[in-house]
Amino acid sequence: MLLRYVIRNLARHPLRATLTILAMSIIILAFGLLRTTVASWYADSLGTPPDRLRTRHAVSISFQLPVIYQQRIASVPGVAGISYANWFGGRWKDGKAFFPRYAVEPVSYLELHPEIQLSPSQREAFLRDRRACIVGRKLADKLGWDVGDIVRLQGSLYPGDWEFTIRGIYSTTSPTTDEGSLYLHWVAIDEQRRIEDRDRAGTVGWFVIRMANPEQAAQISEAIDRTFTNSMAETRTETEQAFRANMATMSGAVIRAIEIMSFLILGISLLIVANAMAMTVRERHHEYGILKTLGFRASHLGFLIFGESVCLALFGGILGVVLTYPASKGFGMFLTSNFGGFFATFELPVQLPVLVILISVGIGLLGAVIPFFLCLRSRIRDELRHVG
Amino acid sequence: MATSIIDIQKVSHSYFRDDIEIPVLKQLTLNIEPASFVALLGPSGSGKTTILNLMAGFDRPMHGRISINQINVSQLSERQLARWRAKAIGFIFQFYNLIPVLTAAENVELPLLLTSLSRAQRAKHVATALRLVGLGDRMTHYPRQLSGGQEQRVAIARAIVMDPAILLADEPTGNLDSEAAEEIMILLQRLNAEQGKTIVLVTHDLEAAQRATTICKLQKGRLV
Ligand SMILES: Nc1ncnc2c1ncn2[C@@H]1O[C@H](COP(=O)(O)OP(=O)(O)OP(=O)(O)O)[C@@H](O)[C@H]1O
Ligand SMILES: [Mg+2]
Repeated sequence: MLLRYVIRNLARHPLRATLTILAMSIIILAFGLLRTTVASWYADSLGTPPDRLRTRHAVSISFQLPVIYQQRIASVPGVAGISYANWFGGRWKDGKAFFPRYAVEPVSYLELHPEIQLSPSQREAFLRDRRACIVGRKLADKLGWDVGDIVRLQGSLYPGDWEFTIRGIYSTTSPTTDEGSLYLHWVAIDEQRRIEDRDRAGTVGWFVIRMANPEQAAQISEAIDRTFTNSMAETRTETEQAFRANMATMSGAVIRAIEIMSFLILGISLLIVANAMAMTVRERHHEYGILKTLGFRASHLGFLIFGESVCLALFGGILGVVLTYPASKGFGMFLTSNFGGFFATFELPVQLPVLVILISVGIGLLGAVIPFFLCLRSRIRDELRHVG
Repeated sequence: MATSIIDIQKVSHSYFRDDIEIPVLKQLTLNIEPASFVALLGPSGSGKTTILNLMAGFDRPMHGRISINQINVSQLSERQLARWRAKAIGFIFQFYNLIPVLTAAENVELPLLLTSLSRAQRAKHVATALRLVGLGDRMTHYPRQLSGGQEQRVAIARAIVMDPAILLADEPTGNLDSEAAEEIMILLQRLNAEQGKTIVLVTHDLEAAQRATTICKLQKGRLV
């Protein structure tokens, strides 16, 4: 019955309650997206084994390196294996379903990435066919692809309409490596460049290097970069984790800023709820006086005030989470297509709803603290004089 | 006077406005017998509401002692006071003071929520109280769907639902037309006569005061 009272109190100012709930839900939505950005950032940079290095253009990842660097890098002492890759970019269908697409040198790439697991026959088929691609199990399931299907892509970095036959579906052994990418033959797309865009032909986005001894990462990186000092394209070599975490456009500091912001906006939501509750409690001054004359004690009034506040925050929080799911699709697509490999995956953490519910309850409780004490402090005789 | 249910001994009380003391009650002594019906008359500002508030423990007297049923009210803590008030006192206001978002039955149920009664027992008490005030058929009405007189009767039902020995009524008819006012007065009289409730009624209305068994006049903080 007291709960019913709480709910009816909520409905007394439908506009105010609606606005508060909406404000709360928008903040929770922003919070969810920011948290997911941070989480997928870390998931990406943590998921790689430490025996690999990456060499990229010293200026930025968006500059390319000549593929002929391969031999010189391979001859650096300590380098046990080398491969190279580039973004393919482009769009699939309307661009709504995004997945990372890499153009790689397939033999060495698969050798250097044992976590990408393919059956021997599929591997064979992929290597034999230059117009072939392999896709991750999760991606294939999501888009309903099977071996033998043709993926049509509209090129961006490599213009034109492209068709690749799926020759294999890979799974991965590491839980943090995604099963959501597509790999195709670098030569297939470079061939076309050689005809249509000679200046940019023969370039790659980055080299992947396996070290004989991972403890020598620093020395090997330095030796590689030294090889290309004062050349046309200087290089920067780092471990894969560092490669992801220190990207020029989005450094770790930006991520930390996002992290801080995600908590700052929770502070705003707290103020919004507290403000709504302060107004409410002030208006009900007289009513709380009546309840006190009936023998209502602090605990009962607390139930009414905290209950209403928690309901407000919780409804907003739940609505926010519900909105986060569709919104994350669009936001994730924006991120993954604009910041490609920085965010290979963009998935809401499974614990997000629980986290949001806890946070909302916390905000509701905190928001009602001051209004509650205002209510307790005032005396019955003053509260009752308001009307009389 | 061991027999009095309300025992007010030399109570003085003042309010402060901007540090200026406004004395309201001056050495007031009043004894009220169990099951009596006392009307408190007096001009506006004479301190009638103040004395009623002190009896109900809404405020504490600055000097003197108020005992109700041998309990020294001024010595109870806020918490004890709230518990005691819920059981011992029913309060009726001039402006009914019903909760607008609750139905008549829910308003009457409010004090029962503080007890350990089951939902069914509460419903029974609520129905009894509302029938007693003649509103057995208005249980699910909201205050705005009731007339002033009916609202006041709901308020009376709420005041008696815990079966307190004492009812304090502050100008309960002040906001009603004479017909409705008379119905309320008859109801109070019945509660006094049939259920033995001790009633203290503050009123301006001389005619209403005639229904009481005792009339006290208050002037400038003193009984006359
Ligand atoms: N909370 C308060 N603060 C300051 N002064 C107060 C307060 N309550 C009452 N007073 C003053 O105390 C005096 C007595 O007030 P009280 O309400 O007891 O009078 P009353 O007899 O009930 O009058 P009425 O018939 O108009 O209701 C008045 O002068 C009033 O202004
Ligand atoms: Mg008064």
